[in-house]
Amino acid sequence: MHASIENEFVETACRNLQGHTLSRISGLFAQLIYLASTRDYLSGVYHHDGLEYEYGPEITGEALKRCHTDLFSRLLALPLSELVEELDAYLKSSGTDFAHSLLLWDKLQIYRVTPPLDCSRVAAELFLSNVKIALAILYSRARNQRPDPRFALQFR
Amino acid sequence: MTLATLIFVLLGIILIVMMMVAGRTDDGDSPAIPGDDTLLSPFSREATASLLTRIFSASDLQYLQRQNNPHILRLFRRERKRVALLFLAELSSRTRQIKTLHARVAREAINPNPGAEVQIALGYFSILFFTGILSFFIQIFGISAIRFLTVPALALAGRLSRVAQISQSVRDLSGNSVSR
Repeated sequence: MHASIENEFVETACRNLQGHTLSRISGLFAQLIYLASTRDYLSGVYHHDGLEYEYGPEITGEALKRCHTDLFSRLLALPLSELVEELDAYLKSSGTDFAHSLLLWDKLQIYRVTPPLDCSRVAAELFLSNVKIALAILYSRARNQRPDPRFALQFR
Repeated sequence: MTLATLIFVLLGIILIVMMMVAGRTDDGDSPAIPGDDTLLSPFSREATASLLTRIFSASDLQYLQRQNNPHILRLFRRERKRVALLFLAELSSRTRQIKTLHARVAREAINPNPGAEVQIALGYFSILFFTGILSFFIQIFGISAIRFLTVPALALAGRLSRVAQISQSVRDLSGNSVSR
């Protein structure tokens, strides 16, 4: 397929993804987690059934990869204060216990799978480092707000 | 000429020959070297400027200071220092990669360009020297110094970009190429 035509299809697929899927996910962090979860852990290839049905696997993979990279760049550019709020909103959005989610995220470091493959090592490390600091801030805030015994656990 | 001098000279010649043979063997076994696009991807001016703004952000530090939590402030200082040093290490590493790639081309070049070679050599040594100096400052002064380092770090990334461009222009000359 000609490169410019392929690029046009990828752009269309990106808009489709934005309009139908990402717009329904509240918050940048939640969107990042969603996009990272569409990537296969072994092959690194992105999958999305609906888009693949319409655009085929190659265009879909490229569109998901592009959206993932764009969103990651937006989150990386956020000041730490805004990243903390984004993460706070995401951890509270699921309805599960906040203290549990916070400790789970710190322990399992689930956020380590979120950077896109083609981002630089420095960018990935900066982002992961920011999330680590944001988690520490949320933990400190939560501990001050309510004397939950689980917050007495050691937080790195 | 005494016997000791003769043995010394012979040993020197043997050593030089061994190094030349080792060098050739390395060339044959060396993996494909990535192109400049790959080498410079995180160090394009735009990407570097935005990364450095975040790494050396004074507003983030002020925000952390307002949290009034020494543990978090310590964590922030440690993490930012680590990322700043990683940035400089990556910059040095890319510089070495470009130098290695260029050396391979220059060795077999049909149209050598001594002026470009001097520029590349000077660029190479100055980048390594200044990244060393910046790393030293960050190691010693931590993030209390890093907000003053955005401009020199950006200048170093710009210098790397120029070295890569000069190297590319030498490779683009007819007959100068490297098998990938």
